[in-house]
Amino acid sequence: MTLLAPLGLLALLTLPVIVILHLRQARRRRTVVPSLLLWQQLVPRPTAHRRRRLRWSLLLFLHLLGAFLIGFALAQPQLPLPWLGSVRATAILIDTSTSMALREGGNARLERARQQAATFIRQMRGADQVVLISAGPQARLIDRGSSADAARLLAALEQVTVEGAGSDVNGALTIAETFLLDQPGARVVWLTDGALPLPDLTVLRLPLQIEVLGTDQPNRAVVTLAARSGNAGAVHVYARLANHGNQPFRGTVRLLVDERISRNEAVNMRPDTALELAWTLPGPAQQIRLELNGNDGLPLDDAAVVNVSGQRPINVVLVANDAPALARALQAMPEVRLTTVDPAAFVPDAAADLTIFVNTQPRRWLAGAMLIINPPAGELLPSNGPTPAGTTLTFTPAGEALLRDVNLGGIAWGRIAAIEPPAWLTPLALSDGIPLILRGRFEHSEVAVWNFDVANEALTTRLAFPLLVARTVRDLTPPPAPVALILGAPLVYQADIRATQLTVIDPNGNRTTIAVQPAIPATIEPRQVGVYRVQEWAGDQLLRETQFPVNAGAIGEADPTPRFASAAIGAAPVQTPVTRAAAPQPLWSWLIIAAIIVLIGEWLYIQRRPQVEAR
Amino acid sequence: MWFATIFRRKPAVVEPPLFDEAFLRRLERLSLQAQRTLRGTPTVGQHPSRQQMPAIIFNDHRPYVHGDDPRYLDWHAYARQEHLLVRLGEIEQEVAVSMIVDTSRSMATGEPARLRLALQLAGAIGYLALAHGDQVTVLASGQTGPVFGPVRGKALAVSLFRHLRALAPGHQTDLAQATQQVVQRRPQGGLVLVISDLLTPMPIETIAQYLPAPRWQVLVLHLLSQAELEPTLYGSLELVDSETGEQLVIDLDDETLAAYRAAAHAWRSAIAQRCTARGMAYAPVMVNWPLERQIIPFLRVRRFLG
Repeated sequence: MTLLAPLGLLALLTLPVIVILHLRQARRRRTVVPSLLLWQQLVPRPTAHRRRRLRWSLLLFLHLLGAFLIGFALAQPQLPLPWLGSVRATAILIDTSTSMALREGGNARLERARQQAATFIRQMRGADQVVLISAGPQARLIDRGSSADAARLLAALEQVTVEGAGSDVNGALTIAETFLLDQPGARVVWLTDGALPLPDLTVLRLPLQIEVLGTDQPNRAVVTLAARSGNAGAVHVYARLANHGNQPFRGTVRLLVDERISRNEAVNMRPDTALELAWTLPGPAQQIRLELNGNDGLPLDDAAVVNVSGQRPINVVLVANDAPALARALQAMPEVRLTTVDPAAFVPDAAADLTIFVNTQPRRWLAGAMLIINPPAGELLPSNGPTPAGTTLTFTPAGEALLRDVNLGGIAWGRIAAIEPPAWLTPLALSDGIPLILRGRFEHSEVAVWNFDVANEALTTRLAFPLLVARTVRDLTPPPAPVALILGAPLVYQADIRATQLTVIDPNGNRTTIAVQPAIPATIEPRQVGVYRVQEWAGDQLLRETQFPVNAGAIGEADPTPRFASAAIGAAPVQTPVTRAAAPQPLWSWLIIAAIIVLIGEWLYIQRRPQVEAR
Repeated sequence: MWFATIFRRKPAVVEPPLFDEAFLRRLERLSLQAQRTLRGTPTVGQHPSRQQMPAIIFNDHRPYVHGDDPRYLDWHAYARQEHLLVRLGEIEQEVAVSMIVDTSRSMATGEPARLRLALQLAGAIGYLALAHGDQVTVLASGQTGPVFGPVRGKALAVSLFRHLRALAPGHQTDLAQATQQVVQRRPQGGLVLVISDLLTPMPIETIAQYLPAPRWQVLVLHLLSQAELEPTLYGSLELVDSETGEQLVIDLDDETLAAYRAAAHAWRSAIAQRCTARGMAYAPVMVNWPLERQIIPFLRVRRFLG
């Protein structure tokens, strides 16, 4: 037993006060009798020693009991009472993998899991605690609370949806142990369809009860869809279909190119087999959609969409008088749209994704990506004048990623400017200690500096030059968007450095705005199947819009057959009622109720006892 | 409204009547058992007496004297003995019933109070006497004159009840004064009913001093309460005498209470013995006994009533 407010025990000092009051009250009590005729016949007895003796009576007992209960309640005692208000702490793991969307008997498996969890929440009593955890592609805490939070928990439960391929059971168990490991009698209930390999449960630290909700059901799915551009604009499409079930499947597939029907073919699939299909389509094409007439309980994975190319167009402005080798190298990149501008007529263009300055430098750091080649002395990049460069080239650790396998050795760099870069520009390559290639980021500018002349034929005639150009351009600009995503896989989206916010538009048209910081990628977690659009905004200016499809079909989720049965692992058997752990319960309310009952008893006793009774 | 009645004057507590009419009709079937030795007025009343007079129904003879009514001559005796004999028979008489009601403060203490039972007993016996033609007088201890009477006649029963209900406690027990008044008003004797708690020193001796047998037939109804015989008091107390205001500090424990109960039993036994020794009839009546179902049958057993 613990006392939350031990000072409350001072109230027990009322006990001796009550005893003293009873002693005083019992000392002399005036009582009228009809006559003293008989009383006077009694032999007087000494009374001094008896006045101090306390005569126990029911009233005194009730007084002391009431005062004790109230005083003890003020100390706020807590006591573990197994029969009164014991706590049951339970973590409910809800499998939110794609296969839980399969409908059986009119209800999806996830709906049944939600109903079971809701029933459990409604049956909570007292200080029972529950932790709701989603065991989807990434385990996450849904909500947690006690019986008083039942309404909130039920509302959170209603928001649980299928999250994608895979079920991170181990992560969910880790979350459950985080919240419940220190609570005696805690347990974990895993509501799943069993359509996944049984995870390693040998190191469980909490009793686990597995409730398998699914049964053996057939399913047809598009598990893989890929497309790429070929020669002469042709588009090559590859698809893999799966038929999980005991029955052969005969159906049709429909191929759409940019939302126009291109193919409509019949397919025959034997039980528990996969069918691979390939098409070569005339281009150009941006997006391919494949639809399978699966006729099963899981229509979510009967269609897939893929982008032919995830590359985003890069608008490059080349500010140079004459840099043919560089221009050729840029034009060799399919995503680059090159514009050449005379340095004297250069005006910053907001539509430019990359601006390349050759033998010149801007007056300020422009927003966006910049590549400055062979900069003359200026305000942004001051130098101490040209210096003969050696043939020894040294890569710094920061330049390893960009310059790996780019053979720049043995090139006579000529005279290069000994520039004094600002601190945020990091040398990637040095020639005898003089920075040759620099890379840095300043506010909303991605900056790369080549401190050598691209008119040097010793460089431009080597294979390393276009490779260096391509790597630098792609390093300065955001990476391409994925051609397709599996539902549940988060997308780490690197926006343009100028972007201040992203607007994510889901397949239903709902918009979500995400504030972004320069060069810090944002994480987008698609929750639906379909095509997502992402708009990059720099203030009110739309910089770019990209889109990526999200598909539910996955090899691991296509087979909805349960692979294990309901079981209890750990201390709690399935059919045995869970032992309710005796957690400390506050007793003050019960003590106050008992005190009120005692006071009522006192009142009744006083009302009903004879008026002359002195007991 | 809930507060509409908080200033309303509460109705006065109405004292219920002493009896109901049905009880009085049932009571008329009884009669007071008066002794033959009492001297009452002959030819009226219904109590037997020791006096004999010429009568049709006879149990004795006496010689005829001049002036006797010839209708009472026993001609059959004359035929056998040739002497004129007059037939003598017993006559009935009325009895003077005096009731001394103790109205001291001690009669008003306790629950229920003894005074109401005393008034009920006085009313019942007074009504019985009036109904049978007896002369009834009611005296209260501590008052100089009679409260009611002496009167005869059943029609005055209502007046009797009214006077009884008007009695209020407020005096000390003074049986001597009341008995003196009885003697002064009817020196030839009669039936005296004493209704009291007898919580006064030597009450029986006082009564016997003024009302000796056989001229006076004294019936003592001793009203006792359970709280008096078996008190529930306990602890250190300051006892106050209800009549005198005298105080007594006492510590009541089991031992003391046992001694008190023994003293009360001895006191009650002594009163009974003294009554018997002085020719008085004694009947202890518990104050919580119901009048008709327990006290009246008890008085019949004790031959107070016939």
